[in-house]
Amino acid sequence: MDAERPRRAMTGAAIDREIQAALAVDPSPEFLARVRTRIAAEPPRAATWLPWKLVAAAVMAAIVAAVVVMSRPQERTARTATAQGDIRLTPEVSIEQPRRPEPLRASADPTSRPVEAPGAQRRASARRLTPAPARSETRLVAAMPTEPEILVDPREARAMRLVIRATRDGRFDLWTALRAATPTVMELPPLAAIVIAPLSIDPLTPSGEEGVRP
Amino acid sequence: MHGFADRLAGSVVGVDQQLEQEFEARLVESSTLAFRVAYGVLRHRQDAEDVAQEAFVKAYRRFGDLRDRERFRAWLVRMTWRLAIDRQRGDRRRAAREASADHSTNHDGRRYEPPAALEDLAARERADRLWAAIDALPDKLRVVVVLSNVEGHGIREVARLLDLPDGTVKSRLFLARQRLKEQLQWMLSDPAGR
Repeated sequence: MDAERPRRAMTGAAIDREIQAALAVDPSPEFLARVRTRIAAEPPRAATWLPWKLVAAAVMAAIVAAVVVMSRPQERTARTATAQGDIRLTPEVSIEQPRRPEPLRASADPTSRPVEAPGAQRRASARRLTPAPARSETRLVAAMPTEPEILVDPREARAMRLVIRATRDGRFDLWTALRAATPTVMELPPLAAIVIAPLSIDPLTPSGEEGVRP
Repeated sequence: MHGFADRLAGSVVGVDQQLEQEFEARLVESSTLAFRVAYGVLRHRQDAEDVAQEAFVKAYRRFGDLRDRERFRAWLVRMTWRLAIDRQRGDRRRAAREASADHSTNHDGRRYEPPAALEDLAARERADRLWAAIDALPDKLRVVVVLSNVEGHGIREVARLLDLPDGTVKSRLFLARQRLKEQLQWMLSDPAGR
């Protein structure tokens, strides 16, 4: 029976018209009232924005506290290393030369000296000048950042520590010592007080006959 | 301390009242849109009202979290669409179960309806074929077709509602129309339907 009916192609506009006609339905007049009643039956909404802000503030505080706590052990390690061993100064400017701490420490034990490449004799002699750190310090130094170190003579370091300790205890006035060590400018008399005597040239008196040697 | 708590509570209540008023305005403005979106999927007035109401309740619960209130309509449309699709799928599963058990339903699983006039039957047949073709579209094409035929939305409005680029909506609409034309190429001519 369908085949006997005239057929036509469905255009896009016709499809849209059909859909628009099918969707041109309005909700019942009670719809809004029903929605309002349903919403009114909802439990009072907690002010969700307030907990969110509180949670955000708490999370921020926790992050800050974690950062502070994590940064402290590093400070303590660095302080302990400074107090126990040599004073190591980390330069502000990075140095291009690579650091080789292992051979330095290995030089303390003569039986376990590593095989050295030819031409390393000069470096070896320099190594012997630096004392090997203690075992506990080795661990601390390993925890420190791997930057080139500047080694200070232990005697100078000891002297420096003594000065610092004495200054802290009040036994030594660093300011006075610094002032005493500074050379002062020589005090000169005022220019007005300087009297310059007039030059007087006494005439030469011939002692004998001119041209005759005495 | 009590003064601070009172001020805080007062400000919270004030903010809530403001939100209530704003939500009421949005409800009045968008109720027909939500209903028609749901109706475009379900084609049943009562079901569409139920789904739209559910979407409004959900929107009310989370209205305070919505940062950009200007995007309320888009948010509501997407929520309504998802709820309607879920409802339709649930209905289909239920209808399939009932059809296998209940002899009062016909072969399509639809409810038994009394016979109507011949013209009504022809119009219903056209509508059924049209909606069957629309239902056969993938969701992303289907939503574009429905939204572009609701409240005279243009491509830009549909793109804003779906949070998609204009070009994407345009191409999807073109593709959807092509598929619908293929499906309905030789739809029965019916003067009442023109």
